[in-house]
Amino acid sequence: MTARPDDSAADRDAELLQRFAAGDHSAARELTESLLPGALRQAWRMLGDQAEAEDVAQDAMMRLWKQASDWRAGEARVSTWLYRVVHNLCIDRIRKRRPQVPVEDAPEPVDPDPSVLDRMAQSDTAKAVAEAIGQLPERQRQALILRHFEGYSNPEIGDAMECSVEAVESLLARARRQLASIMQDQKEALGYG
Amino acid sequence: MADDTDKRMDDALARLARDVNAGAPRPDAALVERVTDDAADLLVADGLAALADEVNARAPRPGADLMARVLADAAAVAPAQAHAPTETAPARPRGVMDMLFGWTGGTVAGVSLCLTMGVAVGMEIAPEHMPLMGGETIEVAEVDPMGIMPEDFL
Repeated sequence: MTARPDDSAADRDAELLQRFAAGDHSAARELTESLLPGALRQAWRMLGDQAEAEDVAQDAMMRLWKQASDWRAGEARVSTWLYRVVHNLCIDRIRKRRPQVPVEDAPEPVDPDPSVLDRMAQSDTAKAVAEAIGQLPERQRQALILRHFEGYSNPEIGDAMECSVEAVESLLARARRQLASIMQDQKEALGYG
Repeated sequence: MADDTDKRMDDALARLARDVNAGAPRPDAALVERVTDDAADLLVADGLAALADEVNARAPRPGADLMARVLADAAAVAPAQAHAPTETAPARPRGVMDMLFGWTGGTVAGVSLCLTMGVAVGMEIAPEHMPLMGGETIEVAEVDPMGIMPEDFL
């Protein structure tokens, strides 16, 4: 699990962004070192392609620099704001990859490709879980990944997904129940039978 | 003899164990379900942890090239940020009227005062003393510039 974006880190990011807006270029380096790895990891996990993930991460950081002077401290965490930007940029790219269909026939919302996780898993256990995660609805999958892959707290997940903490708890509970149900059938194959 | 005693002892213990176990409570359906749920939760938790570890271990880290691109973008945006108008922009000089009535009120009050003073001064000056071009008055202007008066033609 990666470092958890706790409140002190969130305050630090906001302070760095304000310093950058005031013309302190060293703040840009510190922010890049703090936020770029997570943005790149998230984009790679969603797209499954490193070059594309790097372009998305760079684009997202550029939007952060441009947003710096208008940033309203206390309204959002920098890390979760960036998460949303990366998510939307990846969704745009996934949408462009798919064959163009008339708007009325397009499925909404567009899911990140669930098979990407499957391809990244190595062990049988991880592959089984990745496959099971692929069967979850998109919102449940997103909440689960933020919780278990990024180590976000429930309020941070709510911030990133623009929903209440109660909604996050509900999404996670349903996701775990559904995963457990799917994986019950695979217990023997995983050595738990 | 000793073997016979041991066998009887074993049989007695086996009977006792059967009787005790027969009277022991059986797990009800709810308990079975809870234990199964716990096992499933454990399975999910273990599986998620394994997957997260594997995926994050394979995730790319930003290389020097990407870091340089991002920092170059920041440098390109930074001058515009530094020159953007901020709260520290120098304040507009304020006059007495501004201070008394605020910016808009002060402007209106100042213009009104000027107009009033102009009308008042104008009413105090007799028309014949109104200054014309070159500082002359109407009295002087009634004289023909060439010094010839109309009655000279009569």
